[in-house]
Amino acid sequence: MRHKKRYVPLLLMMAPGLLYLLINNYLPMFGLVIAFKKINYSEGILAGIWKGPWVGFDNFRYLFRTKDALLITRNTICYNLVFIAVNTVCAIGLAVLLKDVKNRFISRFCQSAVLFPNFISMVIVSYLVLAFLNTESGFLNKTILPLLGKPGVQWYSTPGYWPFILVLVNLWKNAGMQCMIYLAAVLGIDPQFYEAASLDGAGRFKQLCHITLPAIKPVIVMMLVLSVGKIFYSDFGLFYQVPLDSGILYDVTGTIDTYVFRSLIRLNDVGMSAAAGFYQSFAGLVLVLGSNLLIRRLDKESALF
Amino acid sequence: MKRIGRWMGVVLAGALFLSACAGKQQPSSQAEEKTGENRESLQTETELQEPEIKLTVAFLSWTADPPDLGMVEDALNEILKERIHATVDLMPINGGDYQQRMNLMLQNGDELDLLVTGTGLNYYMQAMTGQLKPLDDLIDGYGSGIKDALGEYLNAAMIPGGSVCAVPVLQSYASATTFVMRQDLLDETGISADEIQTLDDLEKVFAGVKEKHPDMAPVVPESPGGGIFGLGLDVLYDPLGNSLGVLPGYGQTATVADLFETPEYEAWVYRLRDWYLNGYILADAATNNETAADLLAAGRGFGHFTGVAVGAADTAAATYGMPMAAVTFGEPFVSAGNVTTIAWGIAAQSKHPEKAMEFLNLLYTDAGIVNLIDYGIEGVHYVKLSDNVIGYPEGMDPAAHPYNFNLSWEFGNVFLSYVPAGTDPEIWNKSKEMNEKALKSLAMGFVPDVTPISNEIASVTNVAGQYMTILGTGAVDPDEYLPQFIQKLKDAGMDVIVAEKQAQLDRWLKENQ
Repeated sequence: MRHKKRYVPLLLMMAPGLLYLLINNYLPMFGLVIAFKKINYSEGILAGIWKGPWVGFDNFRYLFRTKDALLITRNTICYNLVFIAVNTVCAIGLAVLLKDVKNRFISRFCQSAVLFPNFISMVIVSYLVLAFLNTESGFLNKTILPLLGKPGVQWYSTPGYWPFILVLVNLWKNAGMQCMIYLAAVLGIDPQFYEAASLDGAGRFKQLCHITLPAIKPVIVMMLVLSVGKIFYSDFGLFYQVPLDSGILYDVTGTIDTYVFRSLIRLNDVGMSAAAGFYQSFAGLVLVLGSNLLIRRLDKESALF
Repeated sequence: MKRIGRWMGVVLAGALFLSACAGKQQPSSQAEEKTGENRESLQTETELQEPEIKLTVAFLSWTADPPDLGMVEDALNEILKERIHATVDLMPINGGDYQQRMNLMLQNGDELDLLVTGTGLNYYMQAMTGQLKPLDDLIDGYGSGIKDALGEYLNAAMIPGGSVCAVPVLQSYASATTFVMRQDLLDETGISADEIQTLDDLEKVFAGVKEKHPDMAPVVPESPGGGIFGLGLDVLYDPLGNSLGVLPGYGQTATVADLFETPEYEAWVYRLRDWYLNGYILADAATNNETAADLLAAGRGFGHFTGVAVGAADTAAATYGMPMAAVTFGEPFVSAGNVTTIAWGIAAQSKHPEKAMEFLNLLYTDAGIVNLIDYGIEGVHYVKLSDNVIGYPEGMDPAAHPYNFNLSWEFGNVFLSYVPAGTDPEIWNKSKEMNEKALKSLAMGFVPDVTPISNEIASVTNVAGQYMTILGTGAVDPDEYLPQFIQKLKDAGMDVIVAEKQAQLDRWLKENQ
């Protein structure tokens, strides 16, 4: 009885969060049935879903009729893997460099500068990119390429460049935030380690390999596990806004999120877009369970559950 | 304390749950079979019980909301209170994202009564999934003026199963491949509009313009994302609903074909590619998100293709505020899709479908109301020059006009609207004449039922969205991309769609001969 009383305030504090979780993350799950139904709106939205006839996997057929499902799955996973690798390496590199900036003002300035893109909306980012890549008046076609004596490039209709552009834009936008986390970890390392190492004659690189990286390894693993959990989700703005929804680029810019959105907008069929969404959730669940299983095999301490 | 906390939690959860549900509740649609006889009594009844019925009217606009919209709305509501005991909330939605916003509003069940829909605005999909109310009974009860004005054309909006779910705007239905261009720049080339007979002639004009103005694109897209001329070609075709599986060659033969495999389409994309490489087409046409009006006003373009068959030059001149010339290629043509290009539907979630129909009926019968919405208040926003010609009031700067909607093509019976000075005053009579004499598709009145092929349509639509704009702006090499496009369409099930439409058309032709 005493125990119970002690937990009441804690439970009360947890209630709003749980309620939020329930409303935001659990109630919408009923919507999954839409993927298996044919909806008639004339009865009203809720009744239309409730009374609509079951159609089995009919809504999924269009997804697997073409290579679309394979393509968007490949894009989503591969881009995320590359993002994770590139962002982690660059963020750690930046953090290590920033640590050694001794001037307080310059250090603060650099930190703000790398963090700033994180706060810009993707719509604005897409126009910044457009300012570079515009066929007629873009910075690259108008200034840089003529300087190098090269002809202009049709950026928005040449799929080949986009894997690089997207990785670069993502890095520019997101590396800063990760860098801050690693910087905090790096600054937490006892300076005595470095002093001892330099006395023993270890150079910068040796210090990095034998002190810095081992010391922040737990942080790196945690960040990786968190990113892998989200590997089936893509940054909608990055893949939809930045390429300006250019049709010819769909093969390299289409991800599951943009596909669901386009299906809903273009086909006006909730059932079919719900089917694509269902596929994303299901594949995502399998992947999270799989990666967790793998991590547990390798290092039991790091596994999420 | 503990007990209070627990109750608080329960109450809070309950309140949240209720408020979450309240937004989605749908009132059961009220008795639908109200006939003309008891209409009077019903009106007084509603007047007593519900003093204000407000209809939300969503429509497509290509300009920013004009500053005097509220003023015109008030004036309109004064009249409507008296005539139908209801008011309206005019909700213009920009054409750029009209379809997206409309899909979301219909799916969410937002407050909405009347909406603009049409062939290119997902009309058939909306009607087949029950997002629009079937209007047959409502038109019988409250829309006699609509019936009189439209006559046979009303049937063009029928969906498979025989219901009419939208009322077509009565306007010039004939379409023709037309190029509208700036008169001043055309004069510079020394070629007159009458001399231009074929697309090859037009090409010479482009060369002349390009020579004088190297920075200008002779051809710009009419609207964002649509390619140089939507799906258009100089030889028109009957889209049979959605342009996937069409009747090519003005719909004069009963053989359904994949448009993208036709020689007409091939010739068209190769021509566009040629133009593109010569710099005749706006370089970023495929991703451009400005309208032709903006591009022409900014001096970046010379002209654009459009489907307007009658008075294209006058309409363009009035819209863009500069002298325009127009040339038409091929024959004027009417298909069922043309009639329903712009049509008015009543949303399934509407709480007052009868009132909405009464308002719609006014748009087909009452010239005062139509012109009020089209042009604003007489004496304030326009002055009458003669019976049906209007001009700007003294001292009004057309560029800073406080009610510059230019939407006379959208509201009900277009033939009731005034004509701006400078436009041919006889334009509506000429349009009526053209509606009669234009080539008519032999599938006029046939609407395919796409339910059995909805999966194929979904896959094919996704493929088409990927290639249509990019090929339709000449931005890529057809040698490489056209065969790829056709193959992908086949993989996605284009042949199934063509076969199914052919079978349905054959059945329909047999029944209707």
